[in-house]
Amino acid sequence: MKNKKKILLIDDDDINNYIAEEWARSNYQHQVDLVIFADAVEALQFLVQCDEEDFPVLILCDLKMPLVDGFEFIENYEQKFLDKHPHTKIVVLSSSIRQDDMAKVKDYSSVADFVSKLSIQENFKQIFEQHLHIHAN
Amino acid sequence: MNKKTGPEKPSDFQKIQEEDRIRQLVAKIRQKEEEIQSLRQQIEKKQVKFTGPSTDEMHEKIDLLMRATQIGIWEWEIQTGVILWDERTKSVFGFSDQEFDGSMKSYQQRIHPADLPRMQEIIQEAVERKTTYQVEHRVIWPDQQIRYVIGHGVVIRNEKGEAVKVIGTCQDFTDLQIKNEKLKRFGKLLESAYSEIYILDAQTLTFLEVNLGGRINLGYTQEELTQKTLLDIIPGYAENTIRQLIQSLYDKTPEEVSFESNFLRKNGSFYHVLAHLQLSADEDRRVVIANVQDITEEVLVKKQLQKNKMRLDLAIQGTSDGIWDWPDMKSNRMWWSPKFYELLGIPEFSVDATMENFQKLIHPEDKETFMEQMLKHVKQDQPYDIEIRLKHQNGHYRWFRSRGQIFRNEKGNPVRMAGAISDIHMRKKAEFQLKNTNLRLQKTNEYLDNFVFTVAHDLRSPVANLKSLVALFKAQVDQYDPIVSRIDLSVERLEQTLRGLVQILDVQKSKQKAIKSVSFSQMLDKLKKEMEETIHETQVVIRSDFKIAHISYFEPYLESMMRNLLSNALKYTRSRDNPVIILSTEKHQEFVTLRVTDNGIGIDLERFKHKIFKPFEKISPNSSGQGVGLHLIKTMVEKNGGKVEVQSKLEEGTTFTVFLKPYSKNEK
Repeated sequence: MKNKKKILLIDDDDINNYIAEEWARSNYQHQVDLVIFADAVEALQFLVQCDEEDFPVLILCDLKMPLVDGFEFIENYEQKFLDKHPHTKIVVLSSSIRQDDMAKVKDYSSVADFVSKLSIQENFKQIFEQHLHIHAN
Repeated sequence: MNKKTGPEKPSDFQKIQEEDRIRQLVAKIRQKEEEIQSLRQQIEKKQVKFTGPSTDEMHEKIDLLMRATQIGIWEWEIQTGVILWDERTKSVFGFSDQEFDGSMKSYQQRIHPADLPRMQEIIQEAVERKTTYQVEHRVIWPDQQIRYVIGHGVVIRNEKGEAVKVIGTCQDFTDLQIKNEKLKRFGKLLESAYSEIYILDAQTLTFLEVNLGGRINLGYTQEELTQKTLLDIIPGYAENTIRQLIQSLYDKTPEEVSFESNFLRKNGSFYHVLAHLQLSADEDRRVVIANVQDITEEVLVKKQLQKNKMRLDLAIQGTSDGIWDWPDMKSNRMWWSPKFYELLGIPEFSVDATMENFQKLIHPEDKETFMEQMLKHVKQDQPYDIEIRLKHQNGHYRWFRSRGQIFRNEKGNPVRMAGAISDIHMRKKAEFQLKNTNLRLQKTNEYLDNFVFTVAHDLRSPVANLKSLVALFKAQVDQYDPIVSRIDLSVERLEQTLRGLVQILDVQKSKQKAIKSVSFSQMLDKLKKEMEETIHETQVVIRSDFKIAHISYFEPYLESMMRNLLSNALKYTRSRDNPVIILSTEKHQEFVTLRVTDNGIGIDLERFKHKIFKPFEKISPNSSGQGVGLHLIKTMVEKNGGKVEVQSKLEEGTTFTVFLKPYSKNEK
């Protein structure tokens, strides 16, 4: 159990989140502990009360969200957690491939990648392999 | 003496008469000789002036006659060399009464040196073997006047036949000579005059004389012309007309009449003439002097000028342009063609054609352009051709094209300007409309582009979800379900199509990106790694021959093109034995060509050529592509000034050639 890597997913799309949960359970159940939030504020609150050793190694974050969007989340995250958790990577998920979004996001040192939203299975495969060296069961 | 005198012997009688006359003459001569002898003695001894024979009645008569005819008498005694002259002879030679010393030297000094040798010869000859002689010669008077003199001489011989003296006369004929020379000169001038001069008999109209100019132009000789009349060379004129013309000269109302006609040459051709006729008298008959000018050329030039003027008038009338002329740029005054007024709706001449009034017609917003362009034309010789609005009489402004050209004097200063205005209102209006329509269309297009782009992108997420859900469902329900499996297939297709669409939209939307030098071999290596699995699986041999190693290009485009070409080639060769793919580059005019050749199944170009580069067209039914690869290549390469070509043979292979237009380093 301890080998499981904690991954945070922040997305306002319920269906997407459901699929992600199911997919992670059926394909990465021994490797990944996926925590999902539909709201960036809740995600930040979770991180605040998160144990040191239980802190996520990877945060997948959608850009377009109501209330607090992806940019704001990253902004807040870096202020509060970047110093303490320099190894945690943020991968931005976006259905938009707007160049200026891409450029803006890459300015943040915590952001490791900018990934176009495809199907969950494709995104997970790509991201997990590249950033966590985890392969599906 | 013989009794037999009568008509039957007239010769005897004549002889007697002749002998008598000779005898009388000899006596007279003797008497004369004596007289002269005595006179000579008188002169020698008493220094008495020689006054010529004066004693008897006969001498008086001769003297009278001589005076009347201005003939001088002289004598020359050969042995003594003494010369005796009367007053008139002296005056012929330019001596006053007492001046002449009677010496041969004084006499010869007055003879024109050019005439002297000839005179001496003639006189010498006469003295040696003749009785009379005649000589014409010139005399130079002390005031250098040249006089023409004719002299006659009689040689008088003694019984032995020796010449003892010469007596004779002399006469000044200078006036006559001058008159003759004048006439001669005049005749020569007439003969060689450029104009043609005909002298005609006023009654018969036959040619009496035609000068050289006339003969040459007509082509007749003088002899041939004497057989012709004026009517023969003017076939176009009725005899009556000509005669009436000449008749009018008799009435002296005009001293000269002129007419224009065509004269017929001997060779049958015509020439245009202007003839002036004058009446004159020659000896006993009336003649007509015709002074004829060949005006063929003038007539031609005149006709040409008339034609040109007519043409110009027609052009000014016929053109839809309004013509203006500013003949003196220092003045305000202009000339506007009727069309000019018409174009502006101004009743002709109700507004003065002036520069000031022209400027008043110009729309206030166009005045600056007008002045600016005018100045540039005058100062820098830039063409004056502008589009301005001019006020129409109806109060509205209309668009006109205004063109003009200045003319400079020898010093290069502008002196005159002329030009035209043409109504381009409708064109201009259409232009504006087109511009507006274009703008609207552009906006619509942009909106549509955005709309499609947004739709495609927004669809991706639900489609991706659908795909994932199907996969989840299949994983949870182990059993094969034909419905789920078809849902899966449909979703798969939907997703593929959408992905293709998004790719096309992304390429179309993307603006020019940073250009950089791209290495073909590095890119190929990258792609080979990407497709490692397939390459390994099919055992395909990939060879490359990049004669051009680098190209300045937009890297993602080049990558996308190469990826599509390579993956196509892999697809085509998948089922083949010993599959080979060759990539090469080389220079071709301004392009760098990227060629990808395979020995795959080939394409039936006759069937598919028209659809091969169209989006979502798949030409092999079992291929897994989205049918957008080739369309993308075409779109990308054409967007960057290149092109793509395909060559293929079924069962032999396919070659795609992409003509890439490299970007220069500074270009963006």
